[in-house]
Amino acid sequence: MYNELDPVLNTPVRLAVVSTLIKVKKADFNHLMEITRTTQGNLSHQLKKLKEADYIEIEKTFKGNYPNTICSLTPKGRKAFQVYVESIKKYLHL
Amino acid sequence: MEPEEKNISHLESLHVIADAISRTKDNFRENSFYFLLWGWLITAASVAFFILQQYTTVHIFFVPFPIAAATGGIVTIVRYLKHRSVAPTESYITYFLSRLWMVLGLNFVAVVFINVSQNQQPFTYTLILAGIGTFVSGLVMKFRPMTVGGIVCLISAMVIVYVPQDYRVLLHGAAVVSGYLVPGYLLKASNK
Repeated sequence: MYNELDPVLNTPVRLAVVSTLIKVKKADFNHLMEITRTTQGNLSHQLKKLKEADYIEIEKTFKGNYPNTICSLTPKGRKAFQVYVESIKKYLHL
Repeated sequence: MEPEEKNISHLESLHVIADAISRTKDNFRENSFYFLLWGWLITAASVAFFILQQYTTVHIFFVPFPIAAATGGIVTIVRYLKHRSVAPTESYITYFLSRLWMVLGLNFVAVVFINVSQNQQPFTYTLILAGIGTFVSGLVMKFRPMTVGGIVCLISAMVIVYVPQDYRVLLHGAAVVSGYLVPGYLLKASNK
């Protein structure tokens, strides 16, 4: 009856990353780590999954002398988030 | 082994989304730097223009404005580029405001060029442009003092037409103090 929830988004870290990127145009790795409250290794892995699904773009830059990873949402990721939110709203009768 | 994540329920999803969005905040206070920079530069240029024109025989009494504009332009670009590369996030509002002010900045140059070419003071039109930028900035940041500052600039742009030509630059300076500097300091002191 209800749409299956998108398996790419239906995990806490990946969903939190995409929710953050809905609000801001770009966010760096440290900010996403703060929001998701996860480890560096896990966040890297989840970002890779989102990138493989073509939901986010990852840009590698430098912050001072240190490497910096900047993420932004793709149109496909935005669309997937909208569908996901519609699905949970329907399910929860919101 | 790669870390795997568990799937979450519909209700948990909603909480994750709400939590992530609520903890991602815009940092508008950073923008106060630009209002203070331009506010002080233009106010100082207005006063210097008035003094040079009224109390000296200097022919290039208008020179404080190009100096202020060049200084402000360089500092703004350098600071913006530096800040953008280290900021943890760039919000859509910050992105929009940077483009808005960039376009207004180009229009400032055009307006000044057109008016000076026609031997007219550009203050009415520069205040209208400043008013548009400040008004829109206040509205999108939901920061009322800045919205009021924009309105002050727009009203001053009309009032200035009725002020004797020699004193227009002083009203211009006063409008910048109330339209840029005061809201700029209030923004700096706010928790936005």
